[in-house]
Amino acid sequence: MTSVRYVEWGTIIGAAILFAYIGIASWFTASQFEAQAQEADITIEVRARQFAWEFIYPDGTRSAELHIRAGQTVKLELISEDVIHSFYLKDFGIKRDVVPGRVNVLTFTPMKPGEYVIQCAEFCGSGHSNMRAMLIVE
Amino acid sequence: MTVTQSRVEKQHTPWYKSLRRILTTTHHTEIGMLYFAFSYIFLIVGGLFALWMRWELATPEGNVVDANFYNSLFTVHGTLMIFFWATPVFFGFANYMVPKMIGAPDLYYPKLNALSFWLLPVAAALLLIGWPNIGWTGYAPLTVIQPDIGVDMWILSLHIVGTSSIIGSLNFIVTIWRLRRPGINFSNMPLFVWSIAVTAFIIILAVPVLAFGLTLLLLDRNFGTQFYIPEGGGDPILWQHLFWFFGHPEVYILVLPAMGIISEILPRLVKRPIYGYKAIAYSTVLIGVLGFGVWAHHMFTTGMSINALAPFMLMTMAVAIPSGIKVINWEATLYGGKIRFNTPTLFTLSFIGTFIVGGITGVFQAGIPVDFHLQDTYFVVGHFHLILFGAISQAAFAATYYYFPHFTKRMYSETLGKVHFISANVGQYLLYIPMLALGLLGMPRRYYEYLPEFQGLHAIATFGAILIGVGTIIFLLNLLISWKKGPAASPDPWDAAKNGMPDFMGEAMNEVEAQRHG
Repeated sequence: MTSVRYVEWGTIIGAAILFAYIGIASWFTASQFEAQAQEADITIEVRARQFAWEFIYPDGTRSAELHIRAGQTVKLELISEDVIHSFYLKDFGIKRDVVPGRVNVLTFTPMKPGEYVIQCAEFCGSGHSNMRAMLIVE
Repeated sequence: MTVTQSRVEKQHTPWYKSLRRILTTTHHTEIGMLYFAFSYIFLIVGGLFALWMRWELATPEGNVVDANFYNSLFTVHGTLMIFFWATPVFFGFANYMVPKMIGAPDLYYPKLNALSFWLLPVAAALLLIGWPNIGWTGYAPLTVIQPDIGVDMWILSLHIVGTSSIIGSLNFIVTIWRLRRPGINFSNMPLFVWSIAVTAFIIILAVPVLAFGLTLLLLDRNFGTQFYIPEGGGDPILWQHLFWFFGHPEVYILVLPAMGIISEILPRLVKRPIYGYKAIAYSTVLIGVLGFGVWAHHMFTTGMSINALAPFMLMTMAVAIPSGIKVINWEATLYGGKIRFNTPTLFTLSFIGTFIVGGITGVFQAGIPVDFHLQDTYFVVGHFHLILFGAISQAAFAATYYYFPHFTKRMYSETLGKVHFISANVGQYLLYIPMLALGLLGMPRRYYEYLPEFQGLHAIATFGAILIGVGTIIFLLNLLISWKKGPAASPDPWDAAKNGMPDFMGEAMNEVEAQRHG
């Protein structure tokens, strides 16, 4: 074997090990993310339509802003009234599509009080870039 | 007798000066040239749309165009660059080179070859007149409820361009199987021919799925069916499966010919035979096969269960390995080679470099939790532009410079070529690295207005885009002026035949045989 062959196989095996590590780590992180959905403190319905968000709390109040207490695990039920939207919280690194015909669930626990912007991340028409709302963690 | 006479006449007036000849030609080199002319025209058109968008994005407010026009700009830019620049430019190379490389007189079906070219202008006209505003991925149900006729024209345009690709691919498969001269087989066939063969198979397997999805969309829009509408029992996610089952192999349809052409010109430029011929050929096949098992990595955030998504994550990472094998073999070819720093070599090197950067940013997104953040942000835009412009288009530029003396019998200007190289490479990193950063910071794609905090990076990106635009204009002017006024080039401009690697293997073998018998 020439030195190039060693480099070649070294790179292939090295990349495979690295990818296996990324794969396993991703699997555990993603599974944890899904398991969280079981144990939420509050469930809020999110209605997305061209081009606005609406949040419906368990007591029936409706709001254009999402209010959550810090440390509370919140479960969002994402419902679309027209086309596909995507609920994106850039500061939390989470995103879930809002697909007509099904209810997607997104669970997370905000820890730090503050104001965070919610953006629509799936192209939904002419007002896509203005489809914003605020998450207020108290 | 008449055939010989017309051949003689042809040498006096070039074929492209007669409109009748342009419209009726079935010769593979001439159709190849038509493909080039067509794709370079649409590179300019698509590039102007890109600059228009960048101009709008230089400030956070929408103040250059209105939202719907902006949406049309990115839709048409995306569709144009994929179907009317990156695909046809390599079909152009394949037309010109595959018969010469395998020693065939022409493609197996010359008239079908002309048909697959002439369908393209029709498709392009439908797209530009339709001016759709739904994004190049055309996600249902937005595409179903959008009332404009432009969406229907977009569907028909893709149907026509798909038909063109399928006809072309069948033609190449038959040509490569039936018209190889004796002595050229699958263990010594040029690597570009290998890549075209694999690409042709991907096209005939993937494009019909797109056509099927588009037909359902057309029915939904015009005939009241509800394949993508949940109220009628349909499912919008079905579109995404059908579209990406085509859409991801489409990436390999674009990148494999680029890799093939780099595997041809790199050894000739560094005067050293390609290292690992078999590894490169087999990795092409492996990419073609694995490429069909990754489509749902575009759908990690749709709410599909993690169990269903995990195999796609693994396949996405697996497909990076044969791509890496190619890179290592190119580098091994460079090792100990005599690197000449002329324009095609520089673009070949930048192809390899940018392909590594673009490829690795793709592997990041294979991790499902990482993709939850990055999906549909500028990170994705930066990643695939590094591949599509930085790698694929630069491979086309490298090959255009390399084969220019063959095409025109004249030499281009080296100085202008180097200016183009510098502007394209400095420009692309100024443009796409800020895009990657914007994505990490959380800027979603397809935004016409954005949060003011992102303006700095957007301004740098716009500057980079202008630099690329200037470089491309210099490039095309260089080609056009050198075509008319450049110094005469030798028949073996890169000393390829002198180093024992003639540019067109089959043609060289035919000539040797003709000399022996004649």
